[in-house]
Amino acid sequence: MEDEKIPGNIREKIKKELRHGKILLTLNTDIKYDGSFGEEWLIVTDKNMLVFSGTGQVLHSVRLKEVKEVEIVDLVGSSALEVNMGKFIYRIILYSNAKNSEFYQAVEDIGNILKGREVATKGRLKPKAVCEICNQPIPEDLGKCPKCTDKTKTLLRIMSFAKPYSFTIVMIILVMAVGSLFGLVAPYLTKLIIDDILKPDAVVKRFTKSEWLFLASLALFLSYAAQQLFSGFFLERLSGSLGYKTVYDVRAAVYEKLQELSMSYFDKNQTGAILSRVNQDTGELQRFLVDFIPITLEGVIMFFGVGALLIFISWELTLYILIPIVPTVIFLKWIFPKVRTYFHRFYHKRAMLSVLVNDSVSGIRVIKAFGQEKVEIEKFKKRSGEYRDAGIEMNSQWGIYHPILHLFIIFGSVLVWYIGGDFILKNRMSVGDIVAYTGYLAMFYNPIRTLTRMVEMISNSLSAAERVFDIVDTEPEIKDTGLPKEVKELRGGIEFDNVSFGYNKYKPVIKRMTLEIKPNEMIGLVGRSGAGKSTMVNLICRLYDVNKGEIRIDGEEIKNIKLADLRSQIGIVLQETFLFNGTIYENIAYAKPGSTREEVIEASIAANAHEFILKKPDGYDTDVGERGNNLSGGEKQMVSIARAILRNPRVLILDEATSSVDVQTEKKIQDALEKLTKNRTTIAIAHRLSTLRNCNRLIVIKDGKIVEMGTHKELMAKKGLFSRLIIMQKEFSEQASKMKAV
Amino acid sequence: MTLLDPKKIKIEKDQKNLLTLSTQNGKTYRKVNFLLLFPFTDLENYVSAVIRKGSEYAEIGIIKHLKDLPKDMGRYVREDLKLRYFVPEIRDIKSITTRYWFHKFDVYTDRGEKIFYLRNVRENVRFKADSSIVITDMEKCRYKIPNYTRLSPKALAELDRILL
Ligand SMILES: Nc1ncnc2c1ncn2[C@@H]1O[C@H](COP(=O)(O)OP(=O)(O)OP(=O)(O)O)[C@@H](O)[C@H]1O
Ligand SMILES: [Mg+2]
Repeated sequence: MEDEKIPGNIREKIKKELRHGKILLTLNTDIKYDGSFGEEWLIVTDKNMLVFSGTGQVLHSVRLKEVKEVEIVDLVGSSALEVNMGKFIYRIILYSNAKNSEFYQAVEDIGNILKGREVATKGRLKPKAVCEICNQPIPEDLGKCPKCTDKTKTLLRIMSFAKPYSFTIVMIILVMAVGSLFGLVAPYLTKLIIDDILKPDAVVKRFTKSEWLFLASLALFLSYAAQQLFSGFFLERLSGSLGYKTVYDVRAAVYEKLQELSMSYFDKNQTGAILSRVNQDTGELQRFLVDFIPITLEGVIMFFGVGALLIFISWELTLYILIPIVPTVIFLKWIFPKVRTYFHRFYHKRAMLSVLVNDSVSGIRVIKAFGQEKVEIEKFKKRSGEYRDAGIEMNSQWGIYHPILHLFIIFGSVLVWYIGGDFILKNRMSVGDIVAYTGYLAMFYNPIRTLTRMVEMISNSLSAAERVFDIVDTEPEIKDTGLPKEVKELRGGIEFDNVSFGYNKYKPVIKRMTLEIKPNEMIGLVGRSGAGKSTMVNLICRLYDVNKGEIRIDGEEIKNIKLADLRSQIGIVLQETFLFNGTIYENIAYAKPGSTREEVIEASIAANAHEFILKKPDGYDTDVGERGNNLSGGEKQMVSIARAILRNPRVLILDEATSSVDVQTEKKIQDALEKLTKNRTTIAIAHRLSTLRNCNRLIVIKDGKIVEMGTHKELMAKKGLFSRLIIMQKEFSEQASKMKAV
Repeated sequence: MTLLDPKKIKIEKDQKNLLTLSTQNGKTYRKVNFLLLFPFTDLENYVSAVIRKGSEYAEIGIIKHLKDLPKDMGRYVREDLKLRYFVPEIRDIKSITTRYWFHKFDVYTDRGEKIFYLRNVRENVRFKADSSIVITDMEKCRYKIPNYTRLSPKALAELDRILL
């Protein structure tokens, strides 16, 4: 099949080994049998399954006839393929995470081969994309080769964001050119002052020498002033407005995309990483546009402008000047990586320190409850000390290199006086020439210094930009199909048809589940922690798409229903109650923008929240605090139930919605809910089984599969998992009441 | 916590290379697996002996220190652990080259030489409080540096260059 990949020496050996038999599948792994890096080959023919070592030895050979099943066993950081031979299970080959998708597909294919079926060609996992340029596999969730994305492309991308402001850009370049021009005037004026006014034998016309001196000084001042006006005042304004406006657009694009992205994106990327992309990386982009680009442009203009003038004044002297410039550039190239290391360490320590402070402030309750203030202080002092030391080290390193660098530059000026002085003595140059020359020289060194550093800074900024565009370019996994079906009023029938799903698609959490919920039915989901109950609910809301099978609502595949229509008709109380920082009223009304106060109060009454809200001095205007922390756990749940009810949804989902409220309150909420659940589909999840007594049907989930289903009565009669759970909870509460009696 | 007495237990390998454990109170278990309780911070102590039942593990007991086991038994357990926990330890860094958006690591690990690619230092390099570093490469493979202060100066310089 794909045997052209096999190295020649092994192919020979395989041929010898497999005189008869057609090769159906070949796959190489990246870990050897002893757990070290290296290659082994898995070959499946129509008769045998073999594993060859990288040198062509046969490590395992089993006959397909004897194989019952081939399975993947998850290890840590790697996985193993195990062959079940009925009596024994062999582990035949190991592979690292890098090979997950290939082996996942291979196991399916082998399963088909064992059953004598054709190897499926439909519904295969996409083979790993390979970059056209570097031939390396492209990581799955990136989509483009991170190695070969060209930096110039990113630069163009940034520029495309700056495009609406192209007039500003033109202005910036003009202003900069004019400003630099005025900068060039000053040294030339000093030359004129020295050579044509101050020289004893200078001849002046029209005005007296002191009058000329006044005029020249005035011109000198005006040229400086004009330079400041253009390079300072105008330039700062223009480049500032360009940078901030562009980055505003980029930030808006990033945030818009973040809201669109699917849950799986947020599972894969840590909140901190996303935050730093939105804040830090866009900030970096801003520095790039506001600071670096103008400085670089200015550097380029000065480099050529001043360079031309230096040659114009004296090309011979300029040749000498080049001598110290060469080692300066080399020196800069050499020290910057070194200095950078210290800078990096410094920034790193600073970041670590802020992580620590952030962590301890958000966990302050726990710290106080456990009396760990002293420990935290010590931790802080240690980190802070590392930060201090990194700062000291950075400064002292800079203290070594900076003076050396300065000496190089000073050496250039000294050279001018030495060589140039000789020219004066030989009457080939005037004193004014030399003064002007040193003035220009100082201007010349600046761009050299900045340009050497700019390359690196720009490259850093571009990396930041790339991370930002990464978000902008990510396609949400879940979005409407081309022609989504509009469903204004769901009936609320839900079907699971052979559904498999895993947060990591190689590790299913829901396994081949089939289920039908009728409209207006009230379903209770029961099962141990981690069984997959919340996951089922996530699938119904289409927060994730199934890996296999289909979910249908009212007979229509969920993927074809317009997302906005679907979600607007589902009301959910999440297992983890989350309230936004704001008032109780705002949090409830969040479910239905534009709802009236009456509606909010009605919903609160139905959720039994009204009672506790009455007791708050600020009533519905009570601030819930950060994440709702100013409310009790049960109060938070009641508010989120009210929030779900306000939506008046066709499908109501209650995931452990009353787990934190007292039994009395729960009873009240349930009675109130009973009226509400009559004419809508309801799915309730609860560990406290008494919560589910109103349900039409109960479904017991275990390990991602349905193990029992039926009414309370039927399940009790069945004497299965459910009845055991009921009996256990009963005994438990009886014990508890006995204890009270004692 | 059931502790297994390293002097009284027996760990053997059967013909199929599977491990058999006989405990101090005379029970024998076949097809035993060993799990590290602290896979990132302690590879030598607190090893749990388990039997797999479907998707769950039943614990037989805990071996506190591997070094207390007789030599052969210690080796069996370490071999079993090495196959279960694939987190190569970086011993030395040949070079780190930075190209475009990624860093190419050329390293020596306890499992041989390896070249891998790191995309983003800030997101995929985790510094632990005990001076260890965990690096996740572009393929989601994890590599560990047990103590970065003990790396060779050259390796440290290479690493420092890219750490932000
Ligand atoms: N976002 C996620 N990413 C990866 N794995 C997840 C995620 N959410 C849940 N899981 C895993 O999926 C499995 C099923 O989780 P689920 O939340 O559906 O359980 P549950 O039945 O609701 O349990 P509980 O009764 O404790 O709420 C668990 O093993 C869990 O660790
Ligand atoms: Mg749950």
